[in-house]
Amino acid sequence: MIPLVKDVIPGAGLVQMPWIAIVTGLALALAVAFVSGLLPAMRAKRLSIIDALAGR
Amino acid sequence: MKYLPLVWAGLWRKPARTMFTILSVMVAFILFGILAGIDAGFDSLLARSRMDRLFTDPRFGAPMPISYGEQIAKIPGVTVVAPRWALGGYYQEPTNNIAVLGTDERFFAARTEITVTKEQMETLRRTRTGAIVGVATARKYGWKVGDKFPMQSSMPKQDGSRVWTFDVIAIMESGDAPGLEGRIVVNYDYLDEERVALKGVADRFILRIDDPGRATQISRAIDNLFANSSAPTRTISERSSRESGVNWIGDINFFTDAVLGAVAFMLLFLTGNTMMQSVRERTPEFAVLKTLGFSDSRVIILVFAESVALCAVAALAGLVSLSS
Repeated sequence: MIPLVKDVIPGAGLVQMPWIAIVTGLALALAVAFVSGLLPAMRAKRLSIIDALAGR
Repeated sequence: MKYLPLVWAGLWRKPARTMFTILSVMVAFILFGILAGIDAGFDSLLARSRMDRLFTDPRFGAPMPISYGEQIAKIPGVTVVAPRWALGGYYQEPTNNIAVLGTDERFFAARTEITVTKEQMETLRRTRTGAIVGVATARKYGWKVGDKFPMQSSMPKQDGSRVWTFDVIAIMESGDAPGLEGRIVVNYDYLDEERVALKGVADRFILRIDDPGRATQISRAIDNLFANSSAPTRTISERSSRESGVNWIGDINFFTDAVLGAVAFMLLFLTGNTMMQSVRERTPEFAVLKTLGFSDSRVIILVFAESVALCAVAALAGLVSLSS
């Protein structure tokens, strides 16, 4: 996509995709995944088997 | 790994919801990639700029007499002075803006990162309408050595025409930014002889100095030299020039961090909501898993694995689509 941007926008040769951005992006994704999964995971851990199976 | 089918099944229990979440995360990471790319581009631009290369420009816009070059060259510490006159126009369509830089071989002495052979410089000197074209421009318009290209300009020629035709005599590359060199270098003498007005002037002098530490001192000496003339100058190092350009746009790092913070915050709620809904809908299934002997920690790992798969796969897809 960046080569496409470079062709369309004059002077967009500035735009580069450094490997550190990919690593940072993945680290950010993992952090978001852990934080956003925390509450649902706790809920799943604490559920009462009897109540859950009874649909209560 | 043996729980992968369980994670997979959990993710695709509601395919539409999962797909929309993945698309949202992908778009967010494409935005992240573009911002990080722009940030890195500015950083690399500043890193490549030099303190031992100075630009002498007109202080108030009036072009400078070409004779300034000889006077600047006499200032101690100045090793190269290359005059330049830029002529703008377009190629074929008004949207194809191009500009040619009228200069001479001293331009390449001032910009040593550009790779041009002595033979090519000699050919340029001998070919009045010759042009050495940057590799990016040549690629964009499909120009090859031997081609001619017309440039429609607002500056009329001696014959009344506004079409300036040049012969591509070489393609140049920049060692600092491989594949990105876009300048077109032509003979200053040709532009100067053919233009009907503004003869014998330059819009910039590109200088090299022997000691980067004396950039400010030399700049001041040059500007003082022409302070009381009809065309006062403003001399600045390449690095200072680019830094002020970047600062004029704004604090890029702040913009990047602010947008990234907003994106991360939004993603947190988006994926958190998706996972919460998913777990709530599957409460009886988790109860069955626990009945079958799944410990609390395994249930937690299953939920985290789903969350990580959702975010990481989408983020990777977004970032890879950008860089490929």
